Amino acid sequence: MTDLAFEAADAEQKRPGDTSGIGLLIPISLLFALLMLAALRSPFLISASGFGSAMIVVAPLILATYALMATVIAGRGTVDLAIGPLIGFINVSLIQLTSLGMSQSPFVVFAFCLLAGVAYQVIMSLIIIFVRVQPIIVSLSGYLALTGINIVILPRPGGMAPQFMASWGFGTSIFSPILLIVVLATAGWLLFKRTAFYTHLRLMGSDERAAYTSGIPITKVRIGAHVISGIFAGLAAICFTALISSGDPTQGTNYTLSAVTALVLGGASLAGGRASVMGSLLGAVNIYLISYSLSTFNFGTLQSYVTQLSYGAILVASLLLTLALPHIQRRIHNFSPPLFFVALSVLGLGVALHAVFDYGDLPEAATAADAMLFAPLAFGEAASATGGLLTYWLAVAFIAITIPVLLRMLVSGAGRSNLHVAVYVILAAMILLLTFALSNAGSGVLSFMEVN
Amino acid sequence: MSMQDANAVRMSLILRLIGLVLSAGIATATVVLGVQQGMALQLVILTGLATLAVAAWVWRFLALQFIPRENLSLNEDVPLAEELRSGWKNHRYAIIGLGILATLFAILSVTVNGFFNIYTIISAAILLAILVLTFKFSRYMAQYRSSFIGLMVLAGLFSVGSMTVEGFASGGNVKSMLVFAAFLGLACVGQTLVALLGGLDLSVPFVIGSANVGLAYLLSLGVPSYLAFAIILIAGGLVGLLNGVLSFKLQGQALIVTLGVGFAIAGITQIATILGSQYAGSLFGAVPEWLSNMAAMNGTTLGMKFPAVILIWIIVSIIVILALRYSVYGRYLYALGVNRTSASRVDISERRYWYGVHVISGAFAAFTGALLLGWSGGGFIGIGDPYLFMTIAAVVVGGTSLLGGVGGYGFTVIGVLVLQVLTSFLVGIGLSFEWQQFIFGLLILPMVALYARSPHIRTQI
Amino acid sequence: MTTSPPPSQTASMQPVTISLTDVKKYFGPTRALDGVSLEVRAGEIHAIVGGNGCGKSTLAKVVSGILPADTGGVAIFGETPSTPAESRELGIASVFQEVLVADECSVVDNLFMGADDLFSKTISFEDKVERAEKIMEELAGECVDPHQLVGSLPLSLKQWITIGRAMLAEPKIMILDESSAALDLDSTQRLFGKMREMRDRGASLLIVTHRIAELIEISDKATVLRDGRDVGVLEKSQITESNLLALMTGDDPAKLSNAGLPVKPASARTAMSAQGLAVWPDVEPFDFELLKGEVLGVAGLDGQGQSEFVQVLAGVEAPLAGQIHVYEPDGSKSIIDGLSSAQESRVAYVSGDRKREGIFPSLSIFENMMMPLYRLRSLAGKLGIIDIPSLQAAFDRETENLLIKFGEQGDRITSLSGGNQQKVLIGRGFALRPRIMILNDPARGIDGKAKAELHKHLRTFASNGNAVIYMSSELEEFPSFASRVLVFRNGRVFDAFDGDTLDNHQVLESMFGQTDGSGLLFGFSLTRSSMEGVSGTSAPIVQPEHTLQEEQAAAEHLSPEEPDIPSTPKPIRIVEFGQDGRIVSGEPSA
Repeated sequence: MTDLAFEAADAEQKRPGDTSGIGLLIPISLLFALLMLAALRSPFLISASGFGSAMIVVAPLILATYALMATVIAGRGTVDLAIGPLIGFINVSLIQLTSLGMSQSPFVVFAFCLLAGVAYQVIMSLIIIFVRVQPIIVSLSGYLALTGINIVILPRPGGMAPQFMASWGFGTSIFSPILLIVVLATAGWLLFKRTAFYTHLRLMGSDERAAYTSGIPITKVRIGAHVISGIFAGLAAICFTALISSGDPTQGTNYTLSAVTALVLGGASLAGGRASVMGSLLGAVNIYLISYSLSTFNFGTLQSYVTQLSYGAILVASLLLTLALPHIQRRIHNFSPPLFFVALSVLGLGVALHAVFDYGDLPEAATAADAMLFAPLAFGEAASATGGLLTYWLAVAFIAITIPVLLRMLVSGAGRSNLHVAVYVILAAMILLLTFALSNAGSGVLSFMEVN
Repeated sequence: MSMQDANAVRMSLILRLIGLVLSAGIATATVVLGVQQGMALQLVILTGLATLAVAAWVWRFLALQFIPRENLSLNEDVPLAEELRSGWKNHRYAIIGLGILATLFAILSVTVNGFFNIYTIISAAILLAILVLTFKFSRYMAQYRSSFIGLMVLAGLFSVGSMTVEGFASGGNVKSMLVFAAFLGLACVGQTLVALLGGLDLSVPFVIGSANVGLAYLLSLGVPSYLAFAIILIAGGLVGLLNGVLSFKLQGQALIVTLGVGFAIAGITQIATILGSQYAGSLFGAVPEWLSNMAAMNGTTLGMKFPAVILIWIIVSIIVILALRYSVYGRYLYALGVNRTSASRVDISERRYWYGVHVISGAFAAFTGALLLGWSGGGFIGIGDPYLFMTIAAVVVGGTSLLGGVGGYGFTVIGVLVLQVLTSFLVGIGLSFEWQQFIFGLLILPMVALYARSPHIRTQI
Repeated sequence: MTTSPPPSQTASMQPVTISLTDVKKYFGPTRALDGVSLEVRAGEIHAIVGGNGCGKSTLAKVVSGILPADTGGVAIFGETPSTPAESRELGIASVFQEVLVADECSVVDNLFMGADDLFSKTISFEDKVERAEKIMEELAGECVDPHQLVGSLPLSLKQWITIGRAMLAEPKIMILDESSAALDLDSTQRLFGKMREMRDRGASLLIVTHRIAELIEISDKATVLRDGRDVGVLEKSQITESNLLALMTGDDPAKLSNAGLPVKPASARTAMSAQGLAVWPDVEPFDFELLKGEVLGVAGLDGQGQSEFVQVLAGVEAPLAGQIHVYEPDGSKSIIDGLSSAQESRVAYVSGDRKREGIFPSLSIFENMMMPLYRLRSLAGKLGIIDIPSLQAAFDRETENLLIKFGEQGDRITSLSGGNQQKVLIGRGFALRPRIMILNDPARGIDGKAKAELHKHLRTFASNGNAVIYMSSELEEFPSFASRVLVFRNGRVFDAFDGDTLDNHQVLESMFGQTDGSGLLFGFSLTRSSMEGVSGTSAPIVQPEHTLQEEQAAAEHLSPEEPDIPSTPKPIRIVEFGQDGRIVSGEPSA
């Protein structure tokens, strides 16, 4: 969540020309609804290791969504259905090559994965450009061919991931190399958004003929989009390999559906020209949270089918929502995603605190002291607080006041530069709160586990 | 060249000599190989002669292609270099293609043990002959070119298959090929119609799987088998309708919509059928006699020893082909696929046809799934998975354009047969399912490139 | 008019920037360019003029590097650009007929589309925003938020963006292909001002247009194209309407004119009427009436509502307001509210935009013509089996009547020439046995002979007691063909003319809003006031009154039994100059 908060701040700074605005309304709302549900159902998520493991699981999905995003922006309905098998392909070929004695140094592994992704995508782009076959057919063909060849390369799951990845998949702490990859990838996208190339890409995706006639070298731009997609596919494969610590010829294939769903959920237009990093990130996180929340319900053998059903239904529903979006846009003016994000964060935090707050321990001195510690940090007014319970109620009061204020700001044409300071202050307060909640929850969960 | 035409399309001496030497070389290789493998001498001589003839003919055909027409009658003194250069210029793609084929053959001969034998060489010669024939005649049949090519490939594959794979042309194998082709063909009915409108239905495999499991579930509940069958068909049609309604609203993203619906349907079916049961994904139960008789390999139809599904497929094919050709609905489907605006000016409702083809697609997918239950005897959700790409591949290989309005079910039937024979052949030479999938994946691209290339951006402004 | 053109001597001293020699470009059997030569100098506004389908737009695309020429020499500053990117390098900027903007992107991104290098920006973003604000204000005359998404802007602003994009590139050669189509008169004047500025700075401007009045005003030189060939170059002093029309039409009008006099309604029975019709929003509705035996011409500048008008009458589009009735032979009325009701009432629609809303390219000639009949003549009820023998008879009849030349009836329609394709479509209309034929610019891109034949067929059709509504963008089609002509302007009928005394100059003036709309006052106008009195054959008969020129040709017309009818008040009285603030208050020339 820290991560997300930073992203939100970054999104605020982006050029006013990139109005991803209203498209984020639904992903953000869904995110917090799911977060609250997940936190209530299973407080484990709100802990260092819970968050860490979530990060490991969600990382390949986020990166796969980014990979899809690059080509989707390029237009012509380039939804690369082969993204899942491609991740699988890089995974199994990496495992096989490692077992055949390829150097296990991180540099070689990264270079191989990225090159494999880029090489595949460049071939696809050349076919799309010069043979002029519809991209979706090219991707179908790639899906089939890669699914087949994956099993040829590695008939059944097994093998060992390169040594240096071994510890990546544990997910015991928030700050893992995986998180670093995701943060770097996201930062990379945000930087990429400022380049001239990205502008070309969006213009081409939105109207290829306009781009062509005004002298944009569309062939190069399209190949470039696929190269970027290949890089992210390579990164996704690395995270996937770290996640399963071995090779698996079939599991990667599942990423196709979830990544496409995440992308659509994030408000990208499959027709091209429109997609946002924030949206895709939120979409991917939402997809993860859906399966996480569903897993808390313990469907037993039904689990995978419930997930499948929900992905399919959400995919269709969010596609239909894109039809409704213009109508929503007409109703709501001056929607500011970061503010909305902050407003819901406060609410979400309240629920999260409620979920992990150890009410039983309240009278104990240590908790009270802790509560006193965080109270001044967060509100600067809790000096008079004498008990944990009071702190708790103060937090509730804070939330109760903040939400209406923020909502008011949200509605009344907010979102412009004079509000930046307020947003950052609240964000800072929240990060502090979260840190506290996490450190608190760690022990809380531990004691909970001891009881069991 | 011994076989010179009366209307004297003459080749230079050098070219003729090269051809003669080449074909003689190939024939010698055939004979040597035949002798080495201890075949009957008559057979060796016969095949040697046949190879010589085919090789010489192919050479002549190719060489004639490369000689510019105007030079033929004017003068024979064109220097060879000049001749070759212009030949290269005009036919570089054909030469490159042949070169690739030859290299592939050489590589396979070197790497695969036992690949380089007399049968393979004869097979290669047959394939080459068919290739040449196809190129020679396909230019005369513009409209049915794809079906002609398809039929030629079918003939080539079949002859090569029966030569290299033991028991390929046996009754049993043909029957099994036809049964599988019937399943694929029935699943392709809807896909073809949707493709004629310019869409694709990616929910087909999921509907097949769901129908398969769903029927097994209904039977296990004790629902009368005919009623259960009908329920499944109607449910399939309803899923198709849902697809149609949703994807009509989201025209640009029809593929993704149908994929999403497919996943959801598969999920729902699974949840509904195995709620509370131990086994996820598959369901076993008593399949009614008539159903297994209809679809299983040892079924009989009216006393004849083949399952009814083949007959059903033939009847359905005839009906669909005739309906597409001679009914108002069929022609209006083409009209919509070719030019929607023109069609709407003739008062053809795009919405109604869009819904209609999706309903048909759903119903036929469900039908296939139900029949597959009769074939396998147990419900399995994954049974439809291969059909995702096989239906698309069959439609495309047959020559129906994915851009809409061109093609038809007759073409798809050829595509289905080609794919089925190819599958059987690949299985026969010992390739696993994964390899087949890989090959089919790569096969779609050149096929689409032949029939459904998008126009260049220059022409769209 | 505001700026005097540079003296022609200095212009000819200027270096040649664009030079085409015998350029040919074929699309299959269609000869878009069939040997065009052209020379454009720096500091010159050069117009390419010609009728529809004469190859103007193709020429513009060849110069801007989008389409490569098949043969012939293209030299722009001595080079031949083969892609738009290359032509941009050379200093060429083009604005195309179609408004090409990226809807999902902001105004500023659209304006500077193509300005940056592949990876690096040539101008900082802040600079871009500033310049975007400035140029949009200059061009469109209003402030546009440069961060706004283009998709939410009206068409005219989008058009300005394409023009602004070309201007921001500071080109040495600028090509404008019908770029004023979406602009109103004020805007057009602003555009002209900008163009003159550019010319005076030494740029070459190549404008492609069929708006004669505009090009007379702006261009220094004009090359006239006809049927893919250049047929004449006019210097500034020679650019007059008569010169242009003479060159543009060639001998065609002569061929057309020997066809005889226009048909006149044999009876005065109404075939179709409309009450309170509106095809544009916020435009006062009008009434309309069509008589049996009439050929009604509909004219107007591009996009003045005439196209919507005929589409509404044919049931292709729904009217914004009003009702359309068709009178059956037995006197009963039926309402048209869609294509199916139009078909039932025997109203047929033929579009001239063959490619978009006419033909089915990969289907056969037979199918293309018989498509609507499939349903009407199907056998076996719901099974809908096509009745081939009966269709074959209909097909044979229509092809014979219309003299359609084709190889095999199973050949694809694309194997036919444009004229024959159009005939097939008209045959499709006739095959429905309509009582009213509505044609939307059917003569687009077909040659003079085919046009004359088409007119003959329609005349025969009308004289059999049917009615024809014929919209055309080519005025020279109307004389001696249409029995009356309606001119559209700003979404409604602006003036009406009698076919007998039709004067193209007047119609043209009317299209530009330069007549007083007095035609609407007379008998050949929109409706008869005594509509309610219609009952069977004893309907009151219209007296065709004559126009401002007081010629008398009434003898062969309908009996003047009720001379008072024309003077009764009409439901329409429009046209005052400047009434919507957009019409320039020019002097009525008549």
